[in-house]
Formats: sequence, C-alpha cells, structure tokens
Amino acid sequence: MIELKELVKRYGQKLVLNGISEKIETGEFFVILGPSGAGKSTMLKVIAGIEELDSGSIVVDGKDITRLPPEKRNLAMVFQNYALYPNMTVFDNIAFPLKMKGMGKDKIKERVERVAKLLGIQELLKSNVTRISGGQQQRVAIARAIVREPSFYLLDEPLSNLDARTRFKARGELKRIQKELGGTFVYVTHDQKEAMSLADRIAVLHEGKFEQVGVPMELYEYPKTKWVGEFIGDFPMNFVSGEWLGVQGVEIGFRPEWVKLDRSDFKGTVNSMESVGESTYLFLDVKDVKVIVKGSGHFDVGDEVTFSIEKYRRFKDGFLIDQK
Amino acid sequence: MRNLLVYVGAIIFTLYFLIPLYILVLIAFSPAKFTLESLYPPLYFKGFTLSNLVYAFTQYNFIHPFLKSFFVASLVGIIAILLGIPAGYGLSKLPGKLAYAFIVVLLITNMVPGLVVAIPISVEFIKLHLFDSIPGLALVQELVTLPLAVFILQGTFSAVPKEVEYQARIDGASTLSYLSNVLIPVALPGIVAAFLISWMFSWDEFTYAVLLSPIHPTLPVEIYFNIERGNELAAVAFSLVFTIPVIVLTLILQKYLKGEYLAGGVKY
Repeated sequence: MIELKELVKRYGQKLVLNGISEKIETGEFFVILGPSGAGKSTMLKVIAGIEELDSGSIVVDGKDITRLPPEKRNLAMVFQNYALYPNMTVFDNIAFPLKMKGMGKDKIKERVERVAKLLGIQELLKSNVTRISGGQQQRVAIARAIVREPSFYLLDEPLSNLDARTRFKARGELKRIQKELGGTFVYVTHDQKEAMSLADRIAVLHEGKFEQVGVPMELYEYPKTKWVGEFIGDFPMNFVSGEWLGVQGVEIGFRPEWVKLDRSDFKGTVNSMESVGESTYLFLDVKDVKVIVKGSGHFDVGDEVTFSIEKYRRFKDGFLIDQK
Repeated sequence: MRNLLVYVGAIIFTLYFLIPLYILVLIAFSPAKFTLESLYPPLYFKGFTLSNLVYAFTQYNFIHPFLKSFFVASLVGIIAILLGIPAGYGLSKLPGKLAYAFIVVLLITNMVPGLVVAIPISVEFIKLHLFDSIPGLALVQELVTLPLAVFILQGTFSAVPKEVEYQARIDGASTLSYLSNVLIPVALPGIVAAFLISWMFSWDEFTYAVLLSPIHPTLPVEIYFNIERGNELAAVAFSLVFTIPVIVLTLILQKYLKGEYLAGGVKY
C-alpha cells in the first residue's frame, strides 16, 4: 500500500502539488488523470524521488521513503520516451536493474528470458535498442520495469508515443500484465479514454489537487465538480440553468448520452456535428446556450432538433449535490 | 559553371595548404645541392636520396624530444578527459543559460596571450620543481585545452535525455555507476573528440613549451632550435615525422568533427 500524505511541491512561486493525500492499495491499477501542465509528471517524479518534496511524506508498506534517494526506493518506472540505454542491447537494458542489485549472471539470464517471454520479445534480446520499433521499445521499457519485481510501478504516459493501432493493443496487454503480476501500478495520462479503460480507480488532478478519486463509472456518472464533468467523457457534460426543468437555485448537468431525441421538451438548431462510429454528436444552440446531444442518423447544419433530458445531476456553486 | 567555380576554389585552397608540405617533402628527400645549397632551387625533384634523413636521425637527438612531446600530449589529453568529464557532467545538469555563462568564463582565459601567463608561471614552476618537466608543461597547456574539452563534453552530455539518468537512478545506479555504465559509453564519440583535440593542441604547442621546457625541449621546440642553429636538414627531417601523427589523427577526427558530435550529437 502506498500512502501519500499532504504532498506539497513548489517550483519557485508556482504551487504544483497543493497538499495531495491518498491511499493506493496493493495490486491496484491507479490512474492519475489531468490536463497537460496539471503537475502529473511532477507527482511521479516526487514519488520516484527524482524531485524532492517541499513537505508531506510518502509511506510504502509501512516504511517512510520520503527522504530516500531513487535507487533505494525499490520502485520501477517507465518514461514516456522509454529512456532506454542507447549503448546497450535489449538484453543488457532489461538486465541493468538486476546488475545494479549485484545479482549473479545465471540468475540474471534466467529472469531476463522469463520476462522477455512474457512480453514476446525473446527474438529481440540481442538487438540494439536504437534499431527496434517504437512498440518494441515500449515493451523493452516495460520488461525492464517488471524484471526486478519492485514494490510498485510508476508509468508516465507510456503509450502516448505509439500510433493509434499499436496503442490500443498495448493498452490491453498492459492491463493483462498488471493483473498477471498483481502489481501496484501508478499510471499517469492526459487521455481520459485510456484512463477509463485501464483504471481500477482514477484520480483527477486539477490545480495541484485530486479533485475527485473514484472508479471510472463513478467519475462519469457522478462528477464531483463541474470541471470533472467537463473533463471526463468523450464530450463534456452540458450545464444549464435549473429553471429548464423547473428546479430553482441549482445548475443542471447532463451528458450528451442522457437525452432522447424527437421529444418536444426542448428545441435547438444544429450548429456543427461530429460522427463517432454510428452515433453523431450534435452541437446545438438552445435558448442562447450551447448544448451537445447524441443522436444517430443524418443531420445537416441548420436542422431543427427536439429532445428531452432523461437523466441529470444537480450542481450548486460548481459542486455536485446529488448522492449516489 | 557554378560547379566549376567551386572546384577551382577548392583546388586553390588545397594548394595553398599543401604547397608548404610539398616543399617539406622536397627538401627532405632531395640532395642538399638542389635545395638548401642552390641559389635558385627548383620546385620539382631533381634527385632522390634518403641520406638527409639518415644523417638527421643518426647525428642529432631526435628520440628524446619526440618522446617528450608524446608524453606531454598524452598527459594533456588524459588530464583534459579526467577533469573535463566531471566538469562537463556538472555543467550539463545546470540550466542552459548558467552553463553557457560558465563556459564563456572558462574560454576567456584563452584570450590572455600565452606569453603573459607563461613568465609568471615559469617563476613559480622553478620553485615547485615543475620547470622543464613533463607534468609541468602538461598542466600549463591544460589552460587552453581544458576549457575546450569541457565545452565539447558539456555539449555531448547535454544531448543525453535527462530521463535516461532518472531511469538509471531508479534502476538502482549510483552517480558513479551511471557515469561508467551509461553516460560515458553513450558519450564516447564526444570524449574521443575532446581527447584528440587536446592531444593535437599540445603536440604542436610552442609558446609555453619554449618558455617552460627549454632544457629538454619538445619536438616543435627542438625543430625551432635546429633551424636557429642552421641545421635545416635535421629540422626538415624531424618536421616530417612530426606531421605524420597530425595527419593520422585528423583523418580519425574527421569522423567526430562533423559538427554533430561537437554540438552534442549523441545518437539517441
């Protein structure tokens, strides 16, 4: 179990981490989600020990590691650019953490080969890491992380340098490896889709704080704040005045998927649209408010569309007031 | 047409640099009566002889100046690497602007004329028993080569992504084992370049050598002494041998001096 207690980190005047506390369970796939510049990478660096904390502490399995240097923390990390050692072969890259531990040659060979097999890179072991494809480099980086059996793993957007198809495959594989190892993964990404499909729990990082921590469905169904509602989901949640549905003093949030078309409650004009598979997301002007709704079939700009809101959440001062 | 101009330019340029070398070879391998002893020496081979070289190498002291030059140059190269690697590594971890300021300050020492520094240094070196010694001369030549080596190494090290170092630390490497297992092998081209440039600078350095090591001179100084004494044939023979390592090293260096290595072109 990783316990983060009141983590604070400043860069000059800028407060990057503003008192973050959270417990990450052993064996959990924990995703930290946030827009670029929210401090996600800083957070990983702090946990890894590359950056020093201004205050707060990190406790792993009951042991305080806050003041330990990175090499003493027994964790593994996969960087966005993989940070492979360009002077070494694939085998030597994977073997490096074991070599640093002073493990015997035969044992290193056995461990490296086992991990290479798990990731399907046995044939590459003798190649130079600069001569293999991006997807293969990513596997090597993961193999190097898991070979040492660390107490937990940190992953900094490890899939973002892959092309769309490889990324999709690698995502499924990563999840499979995590379940097989039963490892604790702390995974950073700005891609909410990736977060939704991988995570056991997601923490949404905004302005140096975890704005909400929960299972993926909870974030989608019950976003704690308007900001989370807009950030999570393929399209942002719509927010309109409560008076639309006859409720006073609150705002109403509803997802594009929570409406039914061809009901006469509301009427809007199509401003633009975007197709996703069989569905079409329509950007409507309704009473001077912009609303996104999900429809299917063919529409044109300027079409009149009627719809009803089937499901909604109530927000006051930007915060959710409905309970699950 | 433009191509032709480029070729003409290149030929003129090449001749400008090669003619002195040609004359050197001409004097070395022609009987003296066609060169040094004739009033209007021809610019082509009228005869061929090895006796000049045999005479020079058997009658004059060649091997000691040669070895002195060799040891001094090698020591200069080694010190430049030994001190340049930690300095370059340190600077590569500073923010770019700050590192640049440091390097400018280092290089400014090169702008002080050698003569000005050499005289006070020789006074001190006599007291320290470093005068006329190999380490003494090497240390003084380091004044010029070390800043250059630091500059090259800082550039090479800066090109290694910082994540690679983070990764090594997380994988359990101390700073020292990161340097020896990762950074130095990755930056090897830059290190070789820094060594060779330092070596070559020292090999034909003259001002410090003549002032700080006049009793047991280095090869360039010995050549100069021979010219002064009128032993031109010995000077020519020694110069010939003196040039060979420079040509060989330049050919090796070509590979490293393509800019990409100096500008930190670690292949990554």
